[in-house]
Amino acid sequence: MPETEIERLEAAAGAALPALATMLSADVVAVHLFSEEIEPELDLDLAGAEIVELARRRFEGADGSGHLIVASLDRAAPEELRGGCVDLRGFLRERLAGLGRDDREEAMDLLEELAGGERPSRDPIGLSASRALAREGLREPLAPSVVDRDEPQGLHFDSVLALSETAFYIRGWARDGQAEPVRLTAISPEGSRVELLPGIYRDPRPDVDSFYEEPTRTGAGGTGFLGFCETRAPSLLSTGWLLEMENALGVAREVPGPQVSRDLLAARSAILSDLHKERRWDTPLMDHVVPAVSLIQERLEAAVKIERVWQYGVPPEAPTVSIVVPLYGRIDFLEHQLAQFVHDPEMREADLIYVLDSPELAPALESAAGQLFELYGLPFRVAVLSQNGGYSVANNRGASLAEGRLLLLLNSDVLPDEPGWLSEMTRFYDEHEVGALGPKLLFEDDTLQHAGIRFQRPPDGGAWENEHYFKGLHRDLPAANVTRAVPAVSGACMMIARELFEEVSGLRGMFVQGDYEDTDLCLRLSQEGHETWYLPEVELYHLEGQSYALETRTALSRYNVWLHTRLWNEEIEQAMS
Amino acid sequence: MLREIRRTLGEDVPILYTLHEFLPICHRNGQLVRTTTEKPCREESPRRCHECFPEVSPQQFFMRKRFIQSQMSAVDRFLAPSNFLRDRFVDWGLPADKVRFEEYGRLPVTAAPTRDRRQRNRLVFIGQLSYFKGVNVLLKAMKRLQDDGVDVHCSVYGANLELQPDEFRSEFAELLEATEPTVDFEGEFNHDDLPAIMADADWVIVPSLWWENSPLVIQEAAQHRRPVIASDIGGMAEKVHDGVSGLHFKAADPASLAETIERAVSSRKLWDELQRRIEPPYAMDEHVRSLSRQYRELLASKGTEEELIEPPAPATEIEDVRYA
Repeated sequence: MPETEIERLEAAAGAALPALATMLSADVVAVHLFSEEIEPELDLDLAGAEIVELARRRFEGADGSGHLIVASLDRAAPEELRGGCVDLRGFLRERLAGLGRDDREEAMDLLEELAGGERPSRDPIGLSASRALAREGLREPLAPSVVDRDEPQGLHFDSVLALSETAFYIRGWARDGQAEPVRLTAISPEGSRVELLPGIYRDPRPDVDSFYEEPTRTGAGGTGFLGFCETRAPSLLSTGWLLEMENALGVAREVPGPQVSRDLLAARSAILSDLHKERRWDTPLMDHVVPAVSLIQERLEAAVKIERVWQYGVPPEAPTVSIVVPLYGRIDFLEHQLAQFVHDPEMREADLIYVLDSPELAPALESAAGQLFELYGLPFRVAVLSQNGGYSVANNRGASLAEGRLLLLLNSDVLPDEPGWLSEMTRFYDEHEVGALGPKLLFEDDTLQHAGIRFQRPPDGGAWENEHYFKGLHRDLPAANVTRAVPAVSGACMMIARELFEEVSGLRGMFVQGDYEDTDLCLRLSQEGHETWYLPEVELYHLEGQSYALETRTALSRYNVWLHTRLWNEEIEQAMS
Repeated sequence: MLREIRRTLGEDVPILYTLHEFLPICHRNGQLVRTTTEKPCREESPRRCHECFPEVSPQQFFMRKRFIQSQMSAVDRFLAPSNFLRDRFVDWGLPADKVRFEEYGRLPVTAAPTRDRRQRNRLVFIGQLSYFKGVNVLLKAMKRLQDDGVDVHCSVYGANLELQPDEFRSEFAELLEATEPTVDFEGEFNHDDLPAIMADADWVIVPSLWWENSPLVIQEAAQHRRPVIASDIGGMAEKVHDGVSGLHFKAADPASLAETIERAVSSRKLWDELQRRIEPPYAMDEHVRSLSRQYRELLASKGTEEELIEPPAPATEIEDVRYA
């Protein structure tokens, strides 16, 4: 009578040698089994635990036909199974280390397939640690790279920024004084191999070149490299990255990598600052920066939840318009707006939603908002976000609470000139069935801040920049007093049907911190056949630029404007021709 | 604050607001004097205010104004003790039909006796000892007169010197020393002493560098029937009629003031003529009647029952009114 499940399995398979099993994680088991059968059944009856085979490989060895099978259980492995298992090191040594190089790579490939598969382990860290052990037991190590003027091969792995479990932004340099490098491979601690050539972005490294007493190499031949890369399976470990290089003569070297950095905000600013290396929006560097930053934005956005909603006063019944106002950095704008809205009876009919995008100000806002409601008597809501999400996220979250048929996206530094503006916008919107509608916005000195937006680029085909029509001219300029369709309008004050807003999934969070999301929205609407209109009869003041420090905006705006052009170059060319 | 008052009183109760100064308009404690040039300012705008206070952005000034105006909209009527002040506030944005001219009322006072002398050459300055009140302009004028050998004397009454910036205080001290014995600095004074101070003076000097609203000292001079020599700007120019009830000089200009004083003290006839034409100040009785009437008007316009409001006490029973 077999005593363990493993022994029972051997018996069933008619195995020549004992089967060996090891736990790769709490619920994943690897079994190596010799069997003449082409496809032996893995038939374990584990006290009711469901077992699903995930992958297998067959190796022909001197001892017969070996089968490496990995399977997952629907719960942690029962004691009786674990009791029959050996530790992973022993498993590797006894059954896999002796295999040829190709077979060992196959075995590692199997583990990667398992880790990247559709049925994730409930113990991903355990699985990662097992894969790292397997990598060390099975990998063919190369000669280590030594940075020395007399050594033709030099290699350095500067940084690994983790953007997700499978996406990374890496930096380093590689030079070969003997022959052209033909392979550059980053290897995750878990053994996932990422081929960096030819896609990786090469940048000049005058510091390295001068160390080797060579002229600075530029362009595609740059000594440095950086860029976005993805692993097939999740990589969770913080140490153990490797970089391999091989030249055309087959000389190969490797070097250990640095510790992984997982701070998304730090990664974002580091990646964005790489753009200073380039002058044009269509640089190949953007092929790396855009997926990296988009992923960061996506992850940051997903983490932003509405934490609390405070209702002040009795909300209006069946409101037509929901006004969504993000509050960022400064909460004193709230009172300034209420002090103007209170003169306008229409504002009592509106669903007024403030979205606090600076959660650290929640206590201050809570005490202020209650008093302000007492004083002004205008009902409004405050939605507090769990963390800072930026302009688009704050608006999208606010819009998700909206009850009105129409949405009015409004900046907190916008103050109406006179009552009646909201119904005028509503009337126009309904009568003309437009996509987005923007009013005239004024600077504090009665000059035009916004009279619609068009796109402009330098004659050398540079990036399209948003250009506000007639900016800085007087508010009474006749040309600015024409109601008309325009390429885009400012998100500082924009009306759009809620249904339409939801249809296009709102503002896109891929832009960083409040720039170009509004024109992106207008362009997407236009793609769906909805026009954007400018309505000069409605005038509000926009006291812009008080919330952000100027230098941070400059750094971000380069990315935003390049991304915007990357997304919309053809459409804008058409619209502007 | 105004909105809180409105909320507490409800919509039925009229709110009258007497404008005493320009604080709502001007961030510089309502002085309406530019920090850049120290010249009186007639036109506020976010940009010009930002020039005076570079650390405050034009946007913030815009918001300040809109915010204050929003609060002030809770008021039913504003009373301005000078047309100058009224015009400034209307220019600034208060609705013209909401701002009425209403001078401060004065309780009756027996005029101090005029000096029994041939010459009308004693001057008095009564007011805060601050830069904006122009006391140093007066002292500079007195220095010129002293140097020219003009027979004239000036007493300076005033308080709060210790609150002034060092620069002003040292200049004031230097000028005092230089004008001895033509100028006597008398320091703080008790309001009960006003008749005695007036009895010892022929002319009252009001040399302010800022617009002023309706300076009480001009009314006090009128009650004691003393002609005033005043700066030719703002509330002073409005209340003192040049060549009729007093004399104007070019504001901030010691030479012009010296010349005007010299003209004033050299002719007794001029003093007599000006004194004869001084009009009695607006009486407190009339002021109270006007306030009651205006309040009733507002009550009626709101449709509020008048009985709900206590009538004001007659003016003659008001005692111990202090004017700062």
